[in-house]
Amino acid sequence: MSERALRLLWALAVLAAFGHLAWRIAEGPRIGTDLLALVPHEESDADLAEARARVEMDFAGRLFFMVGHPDAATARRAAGEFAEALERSPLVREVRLRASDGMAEQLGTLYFPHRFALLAPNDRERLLAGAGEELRDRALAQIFGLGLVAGQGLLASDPFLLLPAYFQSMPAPAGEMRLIDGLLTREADGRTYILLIARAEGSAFALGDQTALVHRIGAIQQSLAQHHVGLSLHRAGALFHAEAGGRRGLQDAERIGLLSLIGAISLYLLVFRRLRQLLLSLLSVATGLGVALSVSFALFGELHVVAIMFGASLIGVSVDYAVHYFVSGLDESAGAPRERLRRILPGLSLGLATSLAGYLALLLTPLPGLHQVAAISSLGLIGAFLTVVLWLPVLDRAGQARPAPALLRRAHALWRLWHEPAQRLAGRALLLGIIAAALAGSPFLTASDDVRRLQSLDPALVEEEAEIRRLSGLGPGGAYFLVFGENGEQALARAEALEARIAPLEREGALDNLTSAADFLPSPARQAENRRLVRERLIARHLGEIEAATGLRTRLDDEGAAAPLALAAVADRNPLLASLLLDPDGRMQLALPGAVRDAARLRAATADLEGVRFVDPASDISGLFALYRERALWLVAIATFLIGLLLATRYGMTGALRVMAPPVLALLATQPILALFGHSLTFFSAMALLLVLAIGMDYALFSRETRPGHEAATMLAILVAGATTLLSFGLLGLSATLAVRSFGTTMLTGIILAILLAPLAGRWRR
Amino acid sequence: MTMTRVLLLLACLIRPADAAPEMPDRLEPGAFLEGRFRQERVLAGLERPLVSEGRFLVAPGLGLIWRTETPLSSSMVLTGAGMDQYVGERLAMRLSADRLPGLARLHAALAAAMAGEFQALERDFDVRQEGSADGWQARLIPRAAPSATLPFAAIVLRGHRHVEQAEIHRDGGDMDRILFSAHRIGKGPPDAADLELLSRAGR
Repeated sequence: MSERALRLLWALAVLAAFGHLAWRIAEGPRIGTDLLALVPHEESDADLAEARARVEMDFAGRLFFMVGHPDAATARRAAGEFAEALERSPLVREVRLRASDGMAEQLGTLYFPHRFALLAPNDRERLLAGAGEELRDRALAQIFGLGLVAGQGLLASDPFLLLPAYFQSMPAPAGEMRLIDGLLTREADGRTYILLIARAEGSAFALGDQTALVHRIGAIQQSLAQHHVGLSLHRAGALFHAEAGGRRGLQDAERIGLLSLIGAISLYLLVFRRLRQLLLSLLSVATGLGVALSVSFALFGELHVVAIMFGASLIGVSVDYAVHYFVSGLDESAGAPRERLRRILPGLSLGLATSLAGYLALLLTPLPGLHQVAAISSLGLIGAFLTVVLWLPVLDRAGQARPAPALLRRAHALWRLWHEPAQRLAGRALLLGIIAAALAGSPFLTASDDVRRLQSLDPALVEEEAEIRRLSGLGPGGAYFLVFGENGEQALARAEALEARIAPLEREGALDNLTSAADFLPSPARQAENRRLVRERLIARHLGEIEAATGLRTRLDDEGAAAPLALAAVADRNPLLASLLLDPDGRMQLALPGAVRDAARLRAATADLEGVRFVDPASDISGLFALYRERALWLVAIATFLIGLLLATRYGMTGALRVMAPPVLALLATQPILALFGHSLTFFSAMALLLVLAIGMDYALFSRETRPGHEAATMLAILVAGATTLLSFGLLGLSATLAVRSFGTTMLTGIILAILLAPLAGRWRR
Repeated sequence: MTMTRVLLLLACLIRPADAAPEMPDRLEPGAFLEGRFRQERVLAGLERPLVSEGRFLVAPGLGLIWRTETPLSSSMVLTGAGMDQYVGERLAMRLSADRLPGLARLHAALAAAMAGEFQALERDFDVRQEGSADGWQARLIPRAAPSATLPFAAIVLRGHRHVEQAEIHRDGGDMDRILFSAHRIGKGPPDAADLELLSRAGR
């Protein structure tokens, strides 16, 4: 195919890509914001993975609101208005303000026939210990005491008042909250607090809708606060964090992209003093980025905000090719555009090839977010490269720019630092300094994988969440147990085993009261055992004593003996139990601890329980980050090896080693030097090292491929390219998110080292 | 619930809803009232009432101790934080107020009653007061139908300087009649053992 045909083809491809991108943007681009979505859960067990996904989806959609006011009536009225306003939003699916009335009566009717099979944990313990007389005395104390709940009817059929005791042992409706006139209420600090629990629509996880919902909630809160002076409003939910993180991420991307662009423009005006080079460089960057976003949207459907953020910094890398091309024109002996291109093409192509090797290594990770980063970056580089190679020589009609001898001279100093005999000492000293700093820093190398830190959650939201948790004992997220069985009954029995195992830990304070399905009914096996205990140890021994003391004529028909109380029947009438069942049969169940203070003990204590799995999302994901941090380092090693093989075909073994020495040295020295300043290695900085390798490789190759006499221009190209890269990636070090910041500081350090060391790869003149 | 009845009853015990000529002695903050009781519990279908006797103590802001001496020794301690039931010295049942819907509100109603503010009671009850030559009578009818929260049909209080008799009527004919006697107002806090019981209840 002729060069002309290729140019046309590329033009058509770019047009098509931009058309597609415009359509996507008009449609409202789908942008993901959940940092955790970057990391997949590694679950070998499909059931478990499904259960976790369902639980996390459920948790992620929950919104908690706490309305507080010194005057109880005002608090209740404001809560009602809040609920009404929320319900009008299409993004909120359900608002639970009132607990259903009459639930207690319904449950009473359901449980009554099974009263001899239902024993409160404490009562069961007493009977197992053979202390039935304690239950007899308790019954008598109630029968003769102040205020009797039971009428004669209940008393005659449940003379030991086992059913009321069982009811009292059941979980409270919601943490610390009490049900007052149907509202979840807590009185504390001289205020009345009402808790509202809502559920966000599924679409509320796209950033656009998310922002709309958060704004809507903000508006509702504001108008409530205006109407009711002294009202306090708190909110909590994963959605708020996701929205804040996404908003911050986009702001970062906008700010960093803009600063990066301004930096690049200033740099260009400084170096070329013409607008044409700038516009053409922008053209190469823009085609690269446009094609990258367009194809990535087509590939992935939805792009993650972090991938877009890295895409914004791509401006800094993709500009390298245009920079290298134009700087070659500053040279005294620069030829016609095409000739110049031919001269630098080997360097450009090898630079692209090694960068692609680095980015494509990201595809080897199982991390979906990084696949997006890899795709955006590689496509963007290929696009920019094609524009430079196919279009720039043709568009660069104005001929060459005025040489800039002063700039070239200064740039040449970097080359002379390493290659001029008179300055070698300074060069060696610099090299030794870098090595010494790296050695000094290496004992301080630490790793940090805590997702809670990496995410840099909005402190105001964290505080509101803590306040809601303090007042209500409820809140979003946190650790939980999954309980599995062949059927609901088996899962229920396993939940009982879990409760038994957890009970001592509850007493020792490792967690607050675990709520599981076993709190709502006993398994069939335990129902049978309870019946036997009641019959043998209570009725047989103590019924006569109660009858004698009271004159009561009991009627102990055990109506429920034929068919045990069933899980589904209770779940039908009790939404709290229903919310713990992950499938209609209850084969997958959730068991929710209150505050967990010692997750490691919970995990250890329950590790050997069959069908029980402790899930602590935050620590699980931190563990994954640690795992992938290691894998990323392996990727760096593999990429280095691959690049080495690639280069060995051109330069031979020794030549390849020499070319690779600068980027590899930069790679090895970066983290130890950062450790001196207290920066620890994270998964994200490990990923940055991969890019230090790829970009550092560009500079080394530009040095190696430079022709004698053109060293100054090459050094200027590396400096300009390096400066733009630093302007973009270095600016990521300003990000509000630790994960991104960590990436940025590593890039900053690594690229500076790579620039300084790049001339080492150049051919030595003897 | 049990607690509800008891607290409402207490609210009336200390300061009946009516302010008839014979005002009951008002309990100063920090003081307490104690005395004896005899409770006759009439349950439909039972040939004889269940009779119990013992002592009671009520201290505004602190709570109530109901000590049954016959036919068995047991006591019930009720405060804003919850309820403890003892058989002899052994704790047989402990309920935190968190488990008892409405308890906190009723505890507040009790406090309001002590301070002479009856709006709190009138929210849940229609209060009818009648004076008579030998004292007063108040009839409290729940505004809502009997429910788990307020499980009675009517409460009738009679008294003179103190509440002397309370009848708690429930649907189906069940009724508790409690006779109070030997009232004594104690200045200052109850003794240390009682204070200890009150402070532990429900916690």
